[in-house]
Amino acid sequence: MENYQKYLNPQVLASLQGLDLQARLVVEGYVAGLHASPYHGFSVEFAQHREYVPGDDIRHVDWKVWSKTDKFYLKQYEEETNLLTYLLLDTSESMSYQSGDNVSKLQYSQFVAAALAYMVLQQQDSIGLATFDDGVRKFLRPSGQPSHLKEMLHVMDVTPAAAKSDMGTVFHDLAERFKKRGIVVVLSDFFDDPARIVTGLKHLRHRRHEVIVFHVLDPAEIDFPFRDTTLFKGLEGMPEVLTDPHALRRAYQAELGSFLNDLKRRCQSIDVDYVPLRTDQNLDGPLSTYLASRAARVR
Amino acid sequence: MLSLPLLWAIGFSNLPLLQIGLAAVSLPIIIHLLNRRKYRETSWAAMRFLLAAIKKNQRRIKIEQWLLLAVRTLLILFLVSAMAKPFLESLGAMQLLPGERTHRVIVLDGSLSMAYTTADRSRFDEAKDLANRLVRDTRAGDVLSVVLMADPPRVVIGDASPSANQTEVLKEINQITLPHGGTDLVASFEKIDKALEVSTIPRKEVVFITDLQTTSWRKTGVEEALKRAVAKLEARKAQSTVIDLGKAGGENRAVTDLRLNQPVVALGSSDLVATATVRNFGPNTVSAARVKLLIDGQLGPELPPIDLPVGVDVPVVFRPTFPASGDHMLEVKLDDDPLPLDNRRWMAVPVKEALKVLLVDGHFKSEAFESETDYLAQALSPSSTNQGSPALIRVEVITESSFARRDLAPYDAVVLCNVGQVSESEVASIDAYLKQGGGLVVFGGDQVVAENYNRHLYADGKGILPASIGASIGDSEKKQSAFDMNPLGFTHPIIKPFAGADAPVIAGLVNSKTWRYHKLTIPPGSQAKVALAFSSGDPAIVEAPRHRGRVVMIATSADAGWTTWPLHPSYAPVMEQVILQAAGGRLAERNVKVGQPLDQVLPTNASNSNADIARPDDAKAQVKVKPSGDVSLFHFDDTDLSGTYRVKYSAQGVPEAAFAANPDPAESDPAKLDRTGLTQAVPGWKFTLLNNWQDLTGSAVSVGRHGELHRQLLYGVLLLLIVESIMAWKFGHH
Repeated sequence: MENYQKYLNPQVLASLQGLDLQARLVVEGYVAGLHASPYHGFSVEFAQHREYVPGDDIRHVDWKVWSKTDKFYLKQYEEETNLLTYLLLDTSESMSYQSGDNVSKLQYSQFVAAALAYMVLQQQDSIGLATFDDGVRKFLRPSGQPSHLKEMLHVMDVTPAAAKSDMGTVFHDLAERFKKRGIVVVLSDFFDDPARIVTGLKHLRHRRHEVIVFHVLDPAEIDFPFRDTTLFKGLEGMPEVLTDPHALRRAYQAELGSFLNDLKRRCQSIDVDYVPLRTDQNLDGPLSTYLASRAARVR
Repeated sequence: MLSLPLLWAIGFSNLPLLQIGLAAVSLPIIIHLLNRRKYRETSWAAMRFLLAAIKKNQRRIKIEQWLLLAVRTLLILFLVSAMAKPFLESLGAMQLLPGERTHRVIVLDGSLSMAYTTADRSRFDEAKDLANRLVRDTRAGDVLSVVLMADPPRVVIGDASPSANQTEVLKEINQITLPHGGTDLVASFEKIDKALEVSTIPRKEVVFITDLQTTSWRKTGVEEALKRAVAKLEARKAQSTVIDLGKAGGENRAVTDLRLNQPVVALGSSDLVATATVRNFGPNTVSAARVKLLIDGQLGPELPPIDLPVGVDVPVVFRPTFPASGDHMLEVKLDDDPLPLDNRRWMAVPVKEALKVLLVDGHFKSEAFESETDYLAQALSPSSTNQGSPALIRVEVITESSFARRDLAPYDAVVLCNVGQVSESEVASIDAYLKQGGGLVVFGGDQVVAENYNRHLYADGKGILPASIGASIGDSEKKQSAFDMNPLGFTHPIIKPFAGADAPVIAGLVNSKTWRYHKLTIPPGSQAKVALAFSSGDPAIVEAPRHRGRVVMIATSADAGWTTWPLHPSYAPVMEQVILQAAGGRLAERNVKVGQPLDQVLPTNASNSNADIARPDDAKAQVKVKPSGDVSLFHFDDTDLSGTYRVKYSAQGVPEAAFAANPDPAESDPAKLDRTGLTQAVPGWKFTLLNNWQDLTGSAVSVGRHGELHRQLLYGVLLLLIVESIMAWKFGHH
C-alpha cells in the first residue's frame, strides 16, 4: 500500500501537480494515520445509504442491509449536511514569501484549504471560499456538491496579488455576506493591525460563526536566521532596508513575539481558535484542529 | 597617551615589514566597507517588525559595529607591530635613540692583562662571551665589526666592510686568541676609525670590552696623536660604551726582567751573572715563592724560596753556565698565580766562541806600539801573546785605506782609531752594519778631521755619532796640563765593573792623564749617555744606541799619543767592556718584546732560502730570507705570543737560531682606571662606562633587547582577540 503519510509534508506535496490530487493525498495520508475515521456523520433523521469505505466507523454500518446483500452500507442522516464551512484565503503579496526549500505561505495555505475542502466535501458537508487581499477578490457560495470541489480549487489556485491585505474591511464585508452560520477558517499571515483584524473577527463571531484562525508564517520569519548583511525588500509597498540582520535578530524576534502574543490574546478574548502554522510543518495539524472544532460545533 | 619623546624613541627593527603590515591594518576597514557593498537580497514580508527593530536598535548597532571594527583594526596593528620588533632602545645608561640600522664595532682588549684568570675563566674569555651576547642580540639589519685592541691592533671583522652575518662574526670572535703583548692605544683608535669608515650606516656604536688596565689606557708621549684619533672618532658621532671587566687589587706576581751582566757571552766567560727581577704587584706579601731556572729547557740549579714584599723589585741572581757555543735559552719561572703569562721570562743567549773585532788603524806603523791600534789590540786580545787562556776577543787590524772594501757583517764590533776622514759610501756601509746590530767604536786622534766627522757621521744629530766633535782641548806636545778621569759614580755599564773596587784599582782608572781630547757635545734630547768624563767635565766616553747596534765615542786617542791611559791597568778591562757593550746589539736582537719582529742578519748565501719557525704554541711558520745589500735578512712578524721562537735555516752553514719574546712588564701591573682616570687618560672622549659587569649580565644582554615591545604587543593581541570574541558573541545575541 502506498504510504500516503508522506504527503503530509508540504515540500513533498509541492512536487506534485494539481491541487485536487494534492488535496486528496493530504486527506488520504491524514486518514491513514487515524484510528477512527472522521467520517462519522450522525443524525436522527435517516437520509440515505452510502457504501462503506475503509476507515468509516462501523457503528454506522447498516447490518440489516449487510445480512440481506452481504455488502456493507452506512446509514446517513439528514442533519449532517447542515454544516457549513467558509474558507477565507489571504492572497495578498506578503503571502508569496518563501524561504529556502519551504513552500510559500500562500501555497501552504492552499494545501490546507484544498485538503479541508476535499475532506469537507467527502463528508457531504458544504463548503464556501473567499480569497481576499485588501478586499474580497473571489467568493464561492457554499455548496455540498462533489463537483464543487473542482470549482473551489480553480478559484483557490491563484498567484498572489500585489495588494496589501486589509483584513478589518474584508472581515466586515464577509460577515455581512455569510447568511448561514458555520465554521469560518481564516488562512493568513495576519500582517496587519491586530486591533483591526480582531474587530473584523469580532463581527464574524457576532454572527455566531465558529472562527478558526490559521496563522501561517514562514520559518525564516519566526527564526530570523540571516547572518550576512542583507537588503530586505519590503512586500506590499514597504521600503527597502539594508542592514546587518545578525545584530537585529533579538530585537526583531521581540517585535514579532509581541505581535503574535497580542494577536493570540485578542483572538482568545473573543473565543476564536488561534492556530499558528509554519510552512515547514506537516499538514495534519490544521486538519485535526478543524475536525476537533467541527466535532465541538456539531455536538 | 604616549609622550612625544617616547614616540621618538620607538624604533622598528624590521621597517619594511612594518610598512607592509600597516597596509594590512586597513584590511578590516576594507572588509567592513566591502561587506557593506556586497550583500544578499531577499524580499521580506514581515517588514513592519524589522523596521520597528531597526528603529529601536540602529544607534546601538552602529556603535557596536564601530567598536568591533576598532578592535579588529587595533588587533592587526598590534600583530604587525609585534612582527616588526619595535624596541625602545637604550644601551645601559645611553640615552634613548631612534632605532635606525646600527653599525656596531666591538673592541676587544687584547692586552696580556686580559689573561687574568679567576675560576678558570680569563677576562678575555669573559670578554668573548660578552661579545658573543652582543652579537646575538644584534637586530636584523645591523652590521658588526670586531677590532682587537693590541699592539699592533687588528681589525678582525670589518676591514673591507662590516658583516651582517652573525654566525660568521661569532665564529671569528671565538677563534681570536689573546696575544701576549700590550696595546697601542692610538693605533687602536685609528683602526676603529677605519672600521667605522668603511660603512655608510650613519648610526655608529663602539663597544669596548676591556679591563681598563692603566698601562693599556694611559699612554705618555702620544697625547697629541691620541687627541687627534679621538677627535676623529667623535667626529663620526659614534656612541662609545666601555664595559669594564677589570677588578682593582688583584693578586699578581711577575718576572719583570731577566738580564746578563755581559752584553755578549763568549764561551768560557767565567764571571757571567744572570739577574732576574721578581715583583709582587698584589696587595699582600707573598712568602716563600719559588723561582726556577731553566737552561735550554733543563732545570738549572735550585734556588732558595724568596719572600716578595708588596711593590718591591726582588732580584734573583744566579750563574748560568753554557757548555758549548751556539744559541742557548735561559728561562726563569715563577709559581702560578691568576695571571700566569707574566710568570715566565726567557732570554736567548747566543754563546760565541769569540768576539770578532775589526780595528781600523788611521795611523798604521810597522813598528811595535807605534801604530794607533797596537795598545788596543793588545788590551783586547792579550791571548795573542799569552797562550794560556782562550781568546774571548779576536782582533783583526786593517789600515784606513782597506776599510772601504771590507765586509763588516762578520764582525761583532768595528773600531775606528784615528781615522782621518770617512767617505759617504763608508758612512752608508757603517750605517747598514749598525742596522744589523753591529757595534761601532770611534776613537779620536790628531788625524781626525772634525769637520768631516761632523758632516758625515754626526750630521746635525741625525747621523751615526751621538756627539759632535768640537775643538781639541789641551796640548799633547807640551803636556803641561793633564786631565784626570771622572767615573761619574760608576753608573754606566762600561765603568760598572770598577764600582766597589779597591782604591788602587780605581786610582788606575781615575789617575790616568789625558793631555788632549776632542770636545764632544751631546745634543739636547739625545739618548746618548756619558760613561766616563774628564775632570774638566767634558765627556770622555759617550755611548748611544743606533738602529739595532751601538755606538761608543771616545774623545781621546786609542794609543798613548794623547793620553797615558793605555799604559794604565784599567785600560784593558774598560776597553773590553766598551767592545762588549758595542757588540751587545747582536745579543739584544735575539730578545724582543712580544709583538716586535724577529730579525737576524745572515750571510749573503742564505738569500731566498727558507726559514722554518717553531712558535711557542708549537705552531709552525715559514718565511723566506730576503737579500738586502751585502747581507740577507731574516724577518718574522708574527710574535704575538711570549716564549721561545726557534728558527731553522735551510741555507748551508747557517746555524739554528733561538729567539725569545717577552711580555711587557708594564702589563703585569693590575692597577686600573676608573671613570675619572679614563676621562683624563683619553681627553675629549665621550663614553658611557658600564662598571659592575657581574650585575651587568642582564643589562648587557639587553644592550640590544632593552625596551623591546613586541612581547607586550603580543599580549595585547591576545587580549584583543579575547575581547573581540566576547564582543562579537555578545553583539550577535541582542
